[in-house]
Amino acid sequence: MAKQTRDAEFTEYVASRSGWLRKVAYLLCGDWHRADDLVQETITKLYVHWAKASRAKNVDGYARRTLVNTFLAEQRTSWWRRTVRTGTEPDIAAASIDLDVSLDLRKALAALPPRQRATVVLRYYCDLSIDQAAEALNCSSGNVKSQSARALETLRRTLVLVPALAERTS
Amino acid sequence: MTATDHHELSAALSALADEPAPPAAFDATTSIARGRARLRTRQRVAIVGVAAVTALTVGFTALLQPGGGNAAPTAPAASATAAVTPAPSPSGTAVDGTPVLTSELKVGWLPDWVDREHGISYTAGTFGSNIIAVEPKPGQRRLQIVLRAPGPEPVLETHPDEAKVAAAPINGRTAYWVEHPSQPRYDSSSRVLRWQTADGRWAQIFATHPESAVIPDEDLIRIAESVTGGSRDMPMPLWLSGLPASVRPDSATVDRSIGTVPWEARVVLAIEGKMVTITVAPEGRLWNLAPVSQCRHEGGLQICASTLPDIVPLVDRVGGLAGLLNLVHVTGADESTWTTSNLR
Repeated sequence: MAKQTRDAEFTEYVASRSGWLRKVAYLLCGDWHRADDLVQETITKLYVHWAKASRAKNVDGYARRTLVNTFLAEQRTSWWRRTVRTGTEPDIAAASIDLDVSLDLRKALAALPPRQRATVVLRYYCDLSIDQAAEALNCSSGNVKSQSARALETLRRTLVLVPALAERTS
Repeated sequence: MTATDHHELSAALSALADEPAPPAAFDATTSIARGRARLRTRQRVAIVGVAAVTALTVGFTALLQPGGGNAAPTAPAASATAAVTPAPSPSGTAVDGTPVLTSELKVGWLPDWVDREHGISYTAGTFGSNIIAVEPKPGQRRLQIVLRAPGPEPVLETHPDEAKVAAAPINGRTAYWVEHPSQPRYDSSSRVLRWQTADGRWAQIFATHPESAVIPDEDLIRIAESVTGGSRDMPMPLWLSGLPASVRPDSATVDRSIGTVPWEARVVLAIEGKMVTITVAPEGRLWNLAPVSQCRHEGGLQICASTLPDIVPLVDRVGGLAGLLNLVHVTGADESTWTTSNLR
Protein backbone atom coordinates (compact mmCIF):
# COMPACT_ATOMS: atom_id res chain seq x y z
CA MET A 1 0.00 0.00 0.00
CA ALA A 2 1.48 3.36 -0.97
CA LYS A 3 2.34 5.42 2.06
CA GLN A 4 0.24 8.40 1.03
CA THR A 5 -2.81 6.25 0.38
CA ARG A 6 -2.29 4.45 3.65
CA ASP A 7 -2.05 7.73 5.57
CA ALA A 8 -5.07 9.19 3.81
CA GLU A 9 -7.18 6.10 4.53
CA PHE A 10 -6.04 6.04 8.13
CA THR A 11 -6.71 9.77 8.65
CA GLU A 12 -10.15 9.42 7.11
CA TYR A 13 -10.97 6.49 9.34
CA VAL A 14 -9.80 8.30 12.49
CA ALA A 15 -11.75 11.43 11.56
CA SER A 16 -14.93 9.40 11.16
CA ARG A 17 -14.51 7.29 14.30
CA SER A 18 -12.63 9.48 16.76
CA GLY A 19 -15.81 10.69 18.50
CA TRP A 20 -17.06 7.17 18.99
CA LEU A 21 -13.69 5.86 20.20
CA ARG A 22 -13.40 8.78 22.62
CA LYS A 23 -16.78 8.02 24.17
CA VAL A 24 -15.97 4.34 24.60
CA ALA A 25 -12.61 5.31 26.13
CA TYR A 26 -14.33 7.74 28.47
CA LEU A 27 -16.76 5.10 29.71
CA LEU A 28 -13.83 2.74 30.27
CA CYS A 29 -11.68 5.15 32.27
CA GLY A 30 -14.11 7.82 33.52
CA ASP A 31 -11.90 10.81 32.72
CA TRP A 32 -11.78 12.80 29.49
CA HIS A 33 -8.04 13.52 29.71
CA ARG A 34 -7.20 9.86 30.21
CA ALA A 35 -9.68 8.97 27.49
CA ASP A 36 -7.79 11.19 25.06
CA ASP A 37 -4.50 9.55 26.00
CA LEU A 38 -6.11 6.14 25.51
CA VAL A 39 -7.45 7.06 22.08
CA GLN A 40 -4.12 8.55 21.00
CA GLU A 41 -2.31 5.35 21.95
CA THR A 42 -5.02 3.20 20.39
CA ILE A 43 -4.94 4.92 17.02
CA THR A 44 -1.14 4.86 17.07
CA LYS A 45 -1.27 1.07 17.44
CA LEU A 46 -3.92 1.02 14.75
CA TYR A 47 -1.60 2.94 12.40
CA VAL A 48 1.30 0.58 13.06
CA HIS A 49 -0.95 -2.37 12.12
CA TRP A 50 -3.02 -0.49 9.53
CA ALA A 51 -2.13 -2.90 6.72
CA LYS A 52 -3.79 -5.69 8.70
CA ALA A 53 -6.48 -3.60 10.38
CA SER A 54 -7.74 -2.04 7.17
CA ARG A 55 -8.21 -5.50 5.64
CA ALA A 56 -10.15 -6.78 8.64
CA LYS A 57 -13.79 -7.66 8.04
CA ASN A 58 -14.74 -5.35 10.89
CA VAL A 59 -12.31 -2.44 11.24
CA ASP A 60 -14.40 -0.94 14.04
CA GLY A 61 -14.19 -4.22 15.92
CA TYR A 62 -10.42 -4.24 15.48
CA ALA A 63 -10.18 -0.66 16.76
CA ARG A 64 -12.48 -1.40 19.70
CA ARG A 65 -10.47 -4.48 20.65
CA THR A 66 -7.26 -2.44 20.48
CA LEU A 67 -8.80 0.24 22.69
CA VAL A 68 -10.00 -2.23 25.32
CA ASN A 69 -6.66 -4.03 25.37
CA THR A 70 -4.83 -0.73 25.71
CA PHE A 71 -7.09 0.21 28.62
CA LEU A 72 -6.60 -3.12 30.37
CA ALA A 73 -2.83 -3.06 29.78
CA GLU A 74 -2.71 0.44 31.24
CA GLN A 75 -4.50 -0.82 34.34
CA ARG A 76 -1.94 -3.57 34.74
CA THR A 77 1.02 -1.25 34.47
CA SER A 78 -0.80 1.49 36.39
CA TRP A 79 1.42 4.20 34.93
CA TRP A 80 -1.38 6.72 35.14
CA ARG A 81 -1.69 6.29 38.89
CA ARG A 82 1.68 7.96 39.29
CA THR A 83 0.47 11.08 37.47
CA VAL A 84 -2.54 11.89 39.62
CA ARG A 85 -2.66 13.66 42.93
CA THR A 86 -2.38 11.35 45.90
CA GLY A 87 -5.71 10.59 47.44
CA THR A 88 -7.81 11.71 44.51
CA GLU A 89 -8.97 9.10 42.07
CA PRO A 90 -9.45 10.66 38.64
CA ASP A 91 -12.90 9.14 38.35
CA ILE A 92 -14.10 11.01 41.39
CA ALA A 93 -12.40 14.26 40.47
CA ALA A 94 -13.91 14.18 37.01
CA ALA A 95 -17.30 13.07 38.26
CA SER A 96 -17.70 16.05 40.51
CA ILE A 97 -17.95 18.46 37.60
CA ASP A 98 -21.18 16.99 36.38
CA LEU A 99 -24.74 16.47 37.39
CA ASP A 100 -25.64 14.28 40.33
CA VAL A 101 -27.27 11.74 38.06
CA SER A 102 -24.12 11.26 36.04
CA LEU A 103 -22.09 11.24 39.21
CA ASP A 104 -23.99 8.20 40.46
CA LEU A 105 -23.37 6.20 37.31
CA ARG A 106 -19.76 7.27 37.05
CA LYS A 107 -19.12 6.38 40.68
CA ALA A 108 -20.82 3.05 40.18
CA LEU A 109 -18.69 2.32 37.12
CA ALA A 110 -15.56 3.45 38.93
CA ALA A 111 -16.29 0.91 41.65
CA LEU A 112 -15.99 -1.92 39.14
CA PRO A 113 -12.69 -3.70 38.50
CA PRO A 114 -11.32 -2.79 35.03
CA ARG A 115 -12.28 -6.06 33.34
CA GLN A 116 -15.85 -5.95 34.65
CA ARG A 117 -16.09 -2.34 33.61
CA ALA A 118 -14.89 -3.20 30.12
CA THR A 119 -17.47 -5.99 29.98
CA VAL A 120 -20.28 -3.61 30.91
CA VAL A 121 -19.20 -1.03 28.33
CA LEU A 122 -18.89 -3.62 25.57
CA ARG A 123 -22.17 -5.35 26.37
CA TYR A 124 -24.42 -2.42 27.26
CA TYR A 125 -22.91 0.58 25.45
CA CYS A 126 -21.38 -1.06 22.38
CA ASP A 127 -24.27 -3.54 22.38
CA LEU A 128 -22.05 -6.55 21.68
CA SER A 129 -23.26 -10.10 22.11
CA ILE A 130 -21.57 -12.31 24.69
CA ASP A 131 -19.50 -13.98 21.96
CA GLN A 132 -18.48 -10.65 20.42
CA ALA A 133 -17.50 -9.28 23.84
CA ALA A 134 -15.49 -12.44 24.49
CA GLU A 135 -13.60 -11.91 21.26
CA ALA A 136 -12.91 -8.26 22.11
CA LEU A 137 -11.69 -9.20 25.58
CA ASN A 138 -9.80 -12.25 24.32
CA CYS A 139 -11.51 -14.55 26.81
CA SER A 140 -14.20 -17.23 26.86
CA SER A 141 -17.93 -16.57 26.64
CA GLY A 142 -18.30 -18.08 30.09
CA ASN A 143 -15.86 -15.56 31.43
CA VAL A 144 -17.87 -12.71 29.92
CA LYS A 145 -21.04 -14.09 31.51
CA SER A 146 -19.46 -14.31 34.94
CA GLN A 147 -17.84 -10.87 34.64
CA SER A 148 -21.18 -9.39 33.54
CA ALA A 149 -23.05 -11.02 36.39
CA ARG A 150 -20.60 -9.73 38.98
CA ALA A 151 -20.55 -6.27 37.44
CA LEU A 152 -24.33 -6.00 37.37
CA GLU A 153 -24.55 -7.17 40.94
CA THR A 154 -22.17 -4.40 41.99
CA LEU A 155 -24.06 -1.85 39.92
CA ARG A 156 -27.35 -2.93 41.47
CA ARG A 157 -25.91 -2.34 44.91
CA THR A 158 -24.47 1.08 44.14
CA LEU A 159 -26.46 2.57 41.31
CA VAL A 160 -29.34 4.86 42.13
CA LEU A 161 -29.55 6.15 38.58
CA VAL A 162 -31.68 3.25 37.36
CA PRO A 163 -34.43 2.81 39.94
CA ALA A 164 -35.73 -0.30 38.22
CA LEU A 165 -32.47 -2.05 38.87
CA ALA A 166 -32.38 -1.05 42.51
CA GLU A 167 -36.02 -1.91 43.16
CA ARG A 168 -35.72 -5.38 41.72
CA THR A 169 -32.92 -6.25 44.08
CA SER A 170 -34.36 -4.70 47.23
CA MET B 1 -31.07 -9.13 33.77
CA THR B 2 -34.29 -8.26 32.02
CA ALA B 3 -34.64 -6.53 28.67
CA THR B 4 -35.84 -3.42 30.51
CA ASP B 5 -32.75 -3.40 32.71
CA HIS B 6 -30.57 -3.86 29.68
CA HIS B 7 -32.25 -0.97 27.91
CA GLU B 8 -32.06 1.32 30.93
CA LEU B 9 -28.39 0.64 31.54
CA SER B 10 -27.63 1.16 27.83
CA ALA B 11 -29.51 4.45 27.85
CA ALA B 12 -27.75 5.62 31.00
CA LEU B 13 -24.33 4.79 29.55
CA SER B 14 -25.20 6.60 26.33
CA ALA B 15 -26.32 9.67 28.26
CA LEU B 16 -23.07 9.67 30.25
CA ALA B 17 -20.97 9.37 27.09
CA ASP B 18 -22.94 12.15 25.40
CA GLU B 19 -22.25 14.71 28.11
CA PRO B 20 -20.42 17.87 27.02
CA ALA B 21 -16.72 17.13 26.83
CA PRO B 22 -13.59 19.28 26.64
CA PRO B 23 -11.94 19.63 23.23
CA ALA B 24 -10.21 16.43 22.15
CA ALA B 25 -6.47 16.32 22.74
CA PHE B 26 -5.49 13.64 20.24
CA ASP B 27 -5.12 13.58 16.48
CA ALA B 28 -4.30 11.28 13.59
CA THR B 29 -1.17 13.17 12.57
CA THR B 30 0.51 12.54 15.92
CA SER B 31 -0.31 8.85 15.66
CA ILE B 32 1.10 8.70 12.14
CA ALA B 33 4.35 10.31 13.33
CA ARG B 34 4.59 8.03 16.37
CA GLY B 35 3.54 5.00 14.36
CA ARG B 36 6.22 5.62 11.74
CA ALA B 37 8.84 6.00 14.46
CA ARG B 38 7.78 2.63 15.92
CA LEU B 39 7.89 1.00 12.51
CA ARG B 40 11.38 2.39 11.88
CA THR B 41 12.53 1.06 15.26
CA ARG B 42 11.17 -2.37 14.38
CA GLN B 43 12.95 -2.30 11.06
CA ARG B 44 16.22 -1.35 12.73
CA VAL B 45 15.80 -4.13 15.29
CA ALA B 46 15.08 -6.60 12.48
CA ILE B 47 18.16 -5.48 10.55
CA VAL B 48 20.39 -5.71 13.62
CA GLY B 49 18.97 -9.17 14.38
CA VAL B 50 19.56 -10.47 10.85
CA ALA B 51 23.03 -8.93 10.78
CA ALA B 52 23.91 -10.64 14.05
CA VAL B 53 22.61 -14.02 12.84
CA THR B 54 24.44 -13.54 9.53
CA ALA B 55 27.70 -12.70 11.28
CA LEU B 56 27.39 -15.76 13.51
CA THR B 57 26.60 -17.95 10.50
CA VAL B 58 29.51 -16.62 8.49
CA GLY B 59 31.89 -17.05 11.40
CA PHE B 60 30.68 -20.54 12.20
CA THR B 61 30.77 -21.59 8.52
CA ALA B 62 34.28 -20.21 8.17
CA LEU B 63 35.42 -22.29 11.13
CA LEU B 64 34.04 -25.44 9.48
CA GLN B 65 35.77 -24.78 6.17
CA PRO B 66 38.99 -26.58 5.31
CA GLY B 67 41.82 -24.41 6.54
CA GLY B 68 39.91 -23.22 9.60
CA GLY B 69 38.91 -19.56 9.75
CA ASN B 70 41.41 -18.34 7.22
CA ALA B 71 39.29 -18.76 4.12
CA ALA B 72 37.94 -15.64 2.41
CA PRO B 73 34.41 -14.60 3.43
CA THR B 74 31.74 -16.14 1.30
CA ALA B 75 29.36 -14.18 -0.87
CA PRO B 76 26.01 -15.60 0.34
CA ALA B 77 26.22 -13.64 3.58
CA ALA B 78 25.98 -10.35 1.74
CA SER B 79 23.05 -11.47 -0.40
CA ALA B 80 21.17 -12.75 2.66
CA THR B 81 21.47 -9.35 4.26
CA ALA B 82 20.41 -7.57 1.10
CA ALA B 83 17.29 -9.71 0.86
CA VAL B 84 15.87 -8.32 4.12
CA THR B 85 16.98 -4.74 3.72
CA PRO B 86 13.82 -2.65 4.03
CA ALA B 87 12.87 0.25 1.85
CA PRO B 88 14.61 3.53 2.67
CA SER B 89 13.19 5.26 5.73
CA PRO B 90 10.74 8.14 5.22
CA SER B 91 12.34 11.31 3.95
CA GLY B 92 11.10 14.86 3.94
CA THR B 93 7.49 13.84 3.39
CA ALA B 94 7.20 12.42 6.91
CA VAL B 95 5.02 14.34 9.34
CA ASP B 96 7.31 13.91 12.31
CA GLY B 97 7.32 17.10 14.24
CA THR B 98 7.21 18.57 17.68
CA PRO B 99 4.29 20.23 19.39
CA VAL B 100 4.30 23.90 20.31
CA LEU B 101 1.42 23.82 22.78
CA THR B 102 2.30 21.45 25.61
CA SER B 103 0.18 22.20 28.64
CA GLU B 104 1.53 21.06 31.99
CA LEU B 105 -1.63 22.02 33.84
CA LYS B 106 -4.57 19.74 34.50
CA VAL B 107 -7.64 20.89 36.39
CA GLY B 108 -9.74 18.14 37.94
CA TRP B 109 -12.75 20.26 38.86
CA LEU B 110 -14.47 23.28 37.39
CA PRO B 111 -17.81 24.87 38.33
CA ASP B 112 -20.75 23.77 36.23
CA TRP B 113 -21.22 27.24 34.70
CA VAL B 114 -18.07 26.76 32.64
CA ASP B 115 -18.75 25.97 28.98
CA ARG B 116 -16.60 22.85 28.71
CA GLU B 117 -17.17 22.39 25.02
CA HIS B 118 -16.46 25.89 23.75
CA GLY B 119 -15.22 27.89 26.74
CA ILE B 120 -11.80 26.51 27.66
CA SER B 121 -8.60 28.06 26.31
CA TYR B 122 -5.05 26.79 26.68
CA THR B 123 -1.73 28.60 26.62
CA ALA B 124 1.74 27.23 27.31
CA GLY B 125 5.18 28.66 26.96
CA THR B 126 8.32 29.68 28.75
CA PHE B 127 6.25 31.30 31.53
CA GLY B 128 4.38 28.06 32.33
CA SER B 129 0.87 26.91 31.47
CA ASN B 130 -2.42 28.72 31.55
CA ILE B 131 -6.08 27.68 31.26
CA ILE B 132 -8.93 30.14 30.85
CA ALA B 133 -12.44 28.89 31.52
CA VAL B 134 -15.41 31.10 30.75
CA GLU B 135 -19.16 31.13 30.99
CA PRO B 136 -20.88 30.98 27.58
CA LYS B 137 -22.39 34.45 27.96
CA PRO B 138 -20.06 37.40 27.14
CA GLY B 139 -18.93 39.48 30.10
CA GLN B 140 -19.81 36.82 32.60
CA ARG B 141 -17.74 34.68 34.95
CA ARG B 142 -14.17 33.85 33.96
CA LEU B 143 -11.33 31.88 35.53
CA GLN B 144 -7.68 32.15 34.61
CA ILE B 145 -5.62 29.35 36.14
CA VAL B 146 -1.85 29.60 35.79
CA LEU B 147 0.87 27.12 36.68
CA ARG B 148 4.16 28.98 36.52
CA ALA B 149 7.43 27.53 35.31
CA PRO B 150 9.74 26.50 38.19
CA GLY B 151 11.07 29.57 39.92
CA PRO B 152 10.76 31.83 42.95
CA GLU B 153 7.51 33.05 44.42
CA PRO B 154 6.04 35.73 42.14
CA VAL B 155 6.02 39.27 43.47
CA LEU B 156 2.86 41.23 44.08
CA GLU B 157 2.71 43.39 41.06
CA THR B 158 -0.75 44.68 40.25
CA HIS B 159 -1.07 47.41 42.85
CA PRO B 160 1.33 48.93 45.43
CA ASP B 161 -1.14 48.35 48.25
CA GLU B 162 -1.66 44.68 47.50
CA ALA B 163 -1.28 42.31 50.40
CA LYS B 164 -1.08 38.61 51.05
CA VAL B 165 -3.92 37.32 53.19
CA ALA B 166 -3.30 33.80 54.43
CA ALA B 167 -5.61 31.09 53.16
CA ALA B 168 -5.95 27.54 54.41
CA PRO B 169 -3.14 25.41 52.92
CA ILE B 170 -3.91 23.87 49.52
CA ASN B 171 -3.01 20.18 49.65
CA GLY B 172 -0.78 20.97 52.62
CA ARG B 173 1.18 23.74 50.87
CA THR B 174 1.29 27.53 51.33
CA ALA B 175 -1.70 29.41 49.95
CA TYR B 176 -2.88 32.99 50.17
CA TRP B 177 -5.30 35.49 48.69
CA VAL B 178 -3.88 38.53 46.95
CA GLU B 179 -6.07 41.40 48.12
CA HIS B 180 -6.35 45.13 48.11
CA PRO B 181 -6.41 46.14 51.80
CA SER B 182 -9.72 47.94 51.61
CA GLN B 183 -11.25 46.06 48.69
CA PRO B 184 -10.46 42.34 48.86
CA ARG B 185 -12.28 41.86 45.57
CA TYR B 186 -10.80 44.99 44.02
CA ASP B 187 -13.66 46.57 42.09
CA SER B 188 -16.01 43.90 43.45
CA SER B 189 -15.33 41.73 40.43
CA SER B 190 -12.02 39.98 40.98
CA ARG B 191 -10.46 37.46 43.33
CA VAL B 192 -6.91 36.13 43.31
CA LEU B 193 -5.79 32.91 44.98
CA ARG B 194 -2.15 31.90 44.85
CA TRP B 195 -0.61 28.69 46.16
CA GLN B 196 2.40 26.43 45.89
CA THR B 197 1.91 23.08 44.20
CA ALA B 198 3.28 19.74 45.36
CA ASP B 199 6.39 20.08 43.16
CA GLY B 200 7.16 23.57 44.48
CA ARG B 201 5.89 25.54 41.51
CA TRP B 202 3.55 28.49 42.02
CA ALA B 203 0.01 28.52 40.75
CA GLN B 204 -2.68 31.17 40.70
CA ILE B 205 -6.37 31.58 39.99
CA PHE B 206 -7.52 34.97 38.80
CA ALA B 207 -11.29 34.99 38.90
CA THR B 208 -13.47 37.73 37.46
CA HIS B 209 -17.22 37.95 37.71
CA PRO B 210 -20.13 40.39 37.60
CA GLU B 211 -21.41 41.61 40.97
CA SER B 212 -24.56 39.59 40.47
CA ALA B 213 -22.68 36.29 40.12
CA VAL B 214 -19.84 36.18 42.63
CA ILE B 215 -17.67 33.06 42.41
CA PRO B 216 -17.53 31.65 45.96
CA ASP B 217 -14.10 31.32 47.58
CA GLU B 218 -14.96 27.68 48.27
CA ASP B 219 -15.14 27.05 44.53
CA LEU B 220 -11.74 28.66 43.93
CA ILE B 221 -10.21 26.54 46.70
CA ARG B 222 -11.79 23.42 45.25
CA ILE B 223 -10.36 24.21 41.82
CA ALA B 224 -6.93 24.83 43.34
CA GLU B 225 -7.06 21.51 45.19
CA SER B 226 -7.83 19.72 41.93
CA VAL B 227 -4.90 21.19 39.99
CA THR B 228 -2.26 18.66 39.04
CA GLY B 229 0.74 18.62 36.75
CA GLY B 230 1.17 16.37 33.74
CA SER B 231 2.35 17.12 30.23
CA ARG B 232 -0.25 17.19 27.47
CA ASP B 233 0.30 18.11 23.83
CA MET B 234 -2.65 20.11 22.51
CA PRO B 235 -3.56 19.99 18.81
CA MET B 236 -3.43 23.21 16.81
CA PRO B 237 -4.70 24.09 13.32
CA LEU B 238 -1.26 25.03 12.01
CA TRP B 239 2.29 23.86 11.53
CA LEU B 240 5.51 25.71 10.78
CA SER B 241 8.31 24.57 8.55
CA GLY B 242 11.74 25.96 7.76
CA LEU B 243 11.94 28.40 10.66
CA PRO B 244 15.30 30.23 10.69
CA ALA B 245 17.56 29.13 13.53
CA SER B 246 17.20 32.50 15.23
CA VAL B 247 13.41 32.21 15.37
CA ARG B 248 12.00 29.98 18.10
CA PRO B 249 8.48 29.56 19.55
CA ASP B 250 8.01 31.28 22.89
CA SER B 251 4.42 30.34 23.63
CA ALA B 252 1.28 29.01 21.97
CA THR B 253 -2.42 29.45 22.60
CA VAL B 254 -5.74 28.03 21.55
CA ASP B 255 -8.16 30.72 22.64
CA ARG B 256 -11.91 30.17 22.74
CA SER B 257 -12.83 33.24 24.73
CA ILE B 258 -12.55 35.85 21.97
CA GLY B 259 -16.19 36.43 21.13
CA THR B 260 -15.70 37.79 17.60
CA VAL B 261 -14.45 34.44 16.24
CA PRO B 262 -15.15 30.91 17.57
CA TRP B 263 -11.48 30.30 18.28
CA GLU B 264 -8.07 31.71 17.66
CA ALA B 265 -4.76 29.82 17.58
CA ARG B 266 -1.60 31.80 18.21
CA VAL B 267 2.09 30.97 18.19
CA VAL B 268 4.38 33.66 19.55
CA LEU B 269 7.81 33.51 17.91
CA ALA B 270 10.84 34.99 19.64
CA ILE B 271 13.56 36.67 17.55
CA GLU B 272 16.42 37.81 19.74
CA GLY B 273 14.00 38.32 22.59
CA LYS B 274 11.45 40.26 20.51
CA MET B 275 8.07 38.80 19.69
CA VAL B 276 6.13 38.16 16.49
CA THR B 277 2.69 36.57 16.73
CA ILE B 278 1.29 34.12 14.21
CA THR B 279 -2.50 34.00 14.39
CA VAL B 280 -4.85 31.54 12.72
CA ALA B 281 -8.62 31.93 13.08
CA PRO B 282 -11.85 31.52 11.15
CA GLU B 283 -12.86 34.58 9.17
CA GLY B 284 -14.05 37.39 11.44
CA ARG B 285 -12.72 40.40 13.28
CA LEU B 286 -9.37 39.87 14.96
CA TRP B 287 -9.13 42.50 17.67
CA ASN B 288 -5.78 41.66 19.17
CA LEU B 289 -3.37 41.78 16.25
CA ALA B 290 -0.24 43.86 16.86
CA PRO B 291 -0.13 47.22 15.00
CA VAL B 292 1.92 45.96 12.05
CA SER B 293 0.41 42.89 10.43
CA GLN B 294 0.14 40.92 7.23
CA CYS B 295 -2.54 38.31 6.56
CA ARG B 296 -3.53 35.75 3.98
CA HIS B 297 -6.76 33.81 3.61
CA GLU B 298 -7.03 30.10 2.98
CA GLY B 299 -9.89 27.63 3.29
CA GLY B 300 -12.08 29.90 5.38
CA LEU B 301 -9.23 30.77 7.71
CA GLN B 302 -7.23 33.95 8.12
CA ILE B 303 -3.53 33.54 8.82
CA CYS B 304 -1.74 36.61 10.12
CA ALA B 305 1.73 37.59 11.30
CA SER B 306 1.89 40.71 13.45
CA THR B 307 4.37 42.60 15.57
CA LEU B 308 5.23 46.04 17.00
CA PRO B 309 6.61 48.77 14.70
CA ASP B 310 10.04 48.91 16.38
CA ILE B 311 10.53 45.18 15.84
CA VAL B 312 9.92 45.28 12.08
CA PRO B 313 13.61 45.85 11.17
CA LEU B 314 14.55 42.75 13.18
CA VAL B 315 11.81 40.74 11.49
CA ASP B 316 12.99 41.92 8.08
CA ARG B 317 16.34 40.21 8.74
CA VAL B 318 14.57 36.85 8.82
CA GLY B 319 12.38 37.42 5.77
CA GLY B 320 9.88 39.93 7.08
CA LEU B 321 6.28 39.27 8.09
CA ALA B 322 5.51 38.02 4.58
CA GLY B 323 8.42 35.59 4.73
CA LEU B 324 7.33 34.24 8.11
CA LEU B 325 3.77 33.95 6.86
CA ASN B 326 5.00 31.69 4.05
CA LEU B 327 6.30 29.25 6.68
CA VAL B 328 2.84 28.83 8.19
CA HIS B 329 0.65 25.96 6.96
CA VAL B 330 -2.87 25.29 8.13
CA THR B 331 -4.64 21.96 8.58
CA GLY B 332 -8.19 23.31 8.40
CA ALA B 333 -11.00 24.71 10.50
CA ASP B 334 -12.29 21.23 11.39
CA GLU B 335 -10.76 20.40 14.77
CA SER B 336 -10.46 16.73 13.85
CA THR B 337 -7.70 17.77 11.43
CA TRP B 338 -5.67 19.68 14.02
CA THR B 339 -2.23 18.40 14.81
CA THR B 340 0.41 18.31 17.52
CA SER B 341 3.21 18.06 14.95
CA ASN B 342 3.59 21.80 14.73
CA LEU B 343 7.29 22.24 14.03
CA ARG B 344 8.48 20.25 11.04
